[in-house]
Amino acid sequence: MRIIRDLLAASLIAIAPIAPAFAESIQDASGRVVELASDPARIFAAGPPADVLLYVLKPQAMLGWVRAVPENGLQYVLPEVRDLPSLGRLTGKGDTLNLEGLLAAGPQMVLDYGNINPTYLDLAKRVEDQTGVTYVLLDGAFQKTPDTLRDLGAAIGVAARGEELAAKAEAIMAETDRLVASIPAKKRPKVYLARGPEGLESAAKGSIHSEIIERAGGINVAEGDSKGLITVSPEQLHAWAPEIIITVDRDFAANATSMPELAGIPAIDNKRVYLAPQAPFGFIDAPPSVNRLLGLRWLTAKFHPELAGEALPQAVRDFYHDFYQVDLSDEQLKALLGA
Amino acid sequence: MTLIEARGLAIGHGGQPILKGVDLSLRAGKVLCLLGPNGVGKTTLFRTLLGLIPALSGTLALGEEPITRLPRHRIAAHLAYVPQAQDLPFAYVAQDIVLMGRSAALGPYSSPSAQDVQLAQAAMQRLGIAHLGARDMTRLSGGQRQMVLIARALAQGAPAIVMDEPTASLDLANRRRIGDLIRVLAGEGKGIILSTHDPDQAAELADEVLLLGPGGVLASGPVQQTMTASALSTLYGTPIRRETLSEGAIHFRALPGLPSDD
Amino acid sequence: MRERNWTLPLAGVLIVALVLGIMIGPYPLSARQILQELLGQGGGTGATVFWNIRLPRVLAAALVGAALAAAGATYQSAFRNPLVSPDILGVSAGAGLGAVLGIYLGLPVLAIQLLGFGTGLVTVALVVTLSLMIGGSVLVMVLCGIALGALAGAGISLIKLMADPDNQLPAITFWLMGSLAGVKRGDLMAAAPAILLGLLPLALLRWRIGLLSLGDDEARSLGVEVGRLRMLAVAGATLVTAAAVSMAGVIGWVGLMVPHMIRLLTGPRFDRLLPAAALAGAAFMVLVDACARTMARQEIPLGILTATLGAPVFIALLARGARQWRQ
Repeated sequence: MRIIRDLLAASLIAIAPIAPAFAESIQDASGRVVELASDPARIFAAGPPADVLLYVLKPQAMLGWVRAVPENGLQYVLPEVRDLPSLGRLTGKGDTLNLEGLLAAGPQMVLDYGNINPTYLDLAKRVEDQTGVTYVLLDGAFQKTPDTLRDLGAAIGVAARGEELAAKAEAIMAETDRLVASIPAKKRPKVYLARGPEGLESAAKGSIHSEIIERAGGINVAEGDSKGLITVSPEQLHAWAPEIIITVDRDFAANATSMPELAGIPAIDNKRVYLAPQAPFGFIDAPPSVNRLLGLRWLTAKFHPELAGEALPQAVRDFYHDFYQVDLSDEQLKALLGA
Repeated sequence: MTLIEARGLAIGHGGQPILKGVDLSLRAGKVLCLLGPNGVGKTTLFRTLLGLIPALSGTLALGEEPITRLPRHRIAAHLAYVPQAQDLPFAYVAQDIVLMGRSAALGPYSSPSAQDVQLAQAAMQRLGIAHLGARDMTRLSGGQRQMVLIARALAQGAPAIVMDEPTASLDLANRRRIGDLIRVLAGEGKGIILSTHDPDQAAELADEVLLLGPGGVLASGPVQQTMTASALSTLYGTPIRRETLSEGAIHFRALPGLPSDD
Repeated sequence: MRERNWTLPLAGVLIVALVLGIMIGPYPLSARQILQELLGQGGGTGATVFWNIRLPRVLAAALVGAALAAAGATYQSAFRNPLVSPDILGVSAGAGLGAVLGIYLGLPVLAIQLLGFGTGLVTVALVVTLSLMIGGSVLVMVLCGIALGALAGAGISLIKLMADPDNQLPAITFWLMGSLAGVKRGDLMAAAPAILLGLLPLALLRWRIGLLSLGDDEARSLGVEVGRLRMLAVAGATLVTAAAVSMAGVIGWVGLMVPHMIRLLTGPRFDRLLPAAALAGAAFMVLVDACARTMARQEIPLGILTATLGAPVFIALLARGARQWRQ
């Protein structure tokens, strides 16, 4: 049985490129217009951001996860994608998938989503030249999220869903912008994004990992010359004196207020250390994808609880329903947002 | 007083003897000279005497005690070593090297005291090289380096000294100087055992000689009786004539001709 | 120049470096504030920064610098080679493997440090055991160190490949570049006894360890039990290196460079070199670490700074050495 199934799958893979049915096209980050197979059923996500983008738009076309959803996050995704295999990542440093593995998965296209620079554009072109599989690289800038949802949805045969999600994304952004605009500059809190078990890794202003902090009406205190992650000393933290600390690390969140070297920092003294939920995807980055829309909502609520705190639970419920297609129970909502 | 006493010694590396049945005895105030072709095992014999490698069989005693019962610092207190050449990784100055001779007299955790420094300086003065103390070892001439190493052996204070070809690669004046020094030291009661490739020098310096042929001792004993023309011809495998010079010194001359086959 | 006692002047340099180190940092502390803290009249954030952050960090830097320089000087003498560094027997690679594994497994920080410390020691123990089984010469030992170091490096690469690229991979990368940014009093308390314990035999045996540089036959003929002494020296140097690396991450070049420079002052006599190199290493690391926290708006890993300073010095030393070897 199993052999027959595999043979069938193999023949399907073999046939797919022979009978191309181009119907839709999309302009990717390099500026070229890419012709796509009509309503592609097998799409390979090249990195974790593309995982999320593909999941919210067209979960039925996923071939696997680049990074599997952790055990405790599985309840927040659709049952049919829970058992998909981990396929490894294709782009960036540390590729764990070779091109033969890519071809063996039999994709009709590769979807990549994230930072854009000449290296990534060139890598995309090389993979496409070598494998013959269409490679679409989309700009992962947060601002472009609604357009990306709309355009990609139209291109891969889910135009209605793309349009719906784009509208929701636009609404979230517009509402946040309106709210933040009403807050004078000096009432915006100084925020530090803590990563790592000691909280001593961060992402500086302008990094893709922290860009929604500014958008949500906070001031990222971390200054750095790096677009990626930076290390920070506790002393530097005292000098920055953040009023709010946002963290993605469970250990740090649990221990931060009892660490003697952090005593005296306003956020610590006022117990304003918030652990960003991580299930099924991170709220802040991890990966930096569509999931950040919810992070934006959550940050606004943490920064300005008097303005946005009350509406947060319903906003989370809506987002999980609209984007992840799961309805949260009260327990699940509580588990996500804390008491 | 007998400083070194070896009976029926078999020596070599890794269980393979290269010399067997070596009898050797060094007394205070005497110079014993080792002669033998290259590779016959002179350095291996020295290393055995110094306890650097164990004897394969036979007995070896330093003073009253068998060497196997002596810890390293007791051997060093009894027998000093003047190596043929040094390969120093760092730029030591002469007085550093001489001071190291005091190590055997120090406790394991001690550094040299002012008194040790004085003893080292005295040894250098004794050899007339006190002015070289602050000079880098690598910038000294071959003769000066040899003098520094002998000064270290004196600073070590051992009654017996082993010198591995002390005059190899030295010029005539330095050979003379080192040769004279060896006699003076013997005159003061040191027992000295050295190796050389020069039979004339052996005849001049030594009280006794040990002729080492392939596998064992060819002959040994006082210079006049042992260093015969036939013994040396056999030792080096080439005809050698012994001549007595007008001052009474003996001189060996290798004769022209092909070496014999047997 | 060599006859001069350099211990006191270098101790003075270290004190100046410590004072500077305590004054310098992104959180401004005035001399008056520091004085008040020392007299027990301070308080507030200044007290937290001074007692919990700056002081442990400066002391840790001094300890790590002293440890690496003393270990480097010891290895250079014990292996008769001026160009070896404290990680010649694979202690850094071994400690790196343990620490990286700890990060990968998500262990608490102290456990990460202990794991790194343990694997560093185990790696060197393996190197020594293997080389004794093979034949025991110094060259065999160094080659075994290179081989096991490469093996540990492969393990590190494997873990990096498997690590979560968003959270663990940056942590691993930062650790492998060396930093004292997160040092706490507890870390210092854990590492200090190991470092002092390792320095003790080196200090006690400082005369004899110098004799190892003469070569085995000569050292033995001077009354030294070479095998035992070398093992003691290597054990002490390895202990301090493993403790330093497990606290501060991999910091290269200090152990190679500082003994070299100090040898120009004191001459090669190990009994003079050891204390001078330890003091100079401590002062050097305190100043480099002060640069690491102030030069840019973010922390600069120490490994980057020491390599930037160390590589040109090393090449200059090579050129000097090459001239000597040609003669």
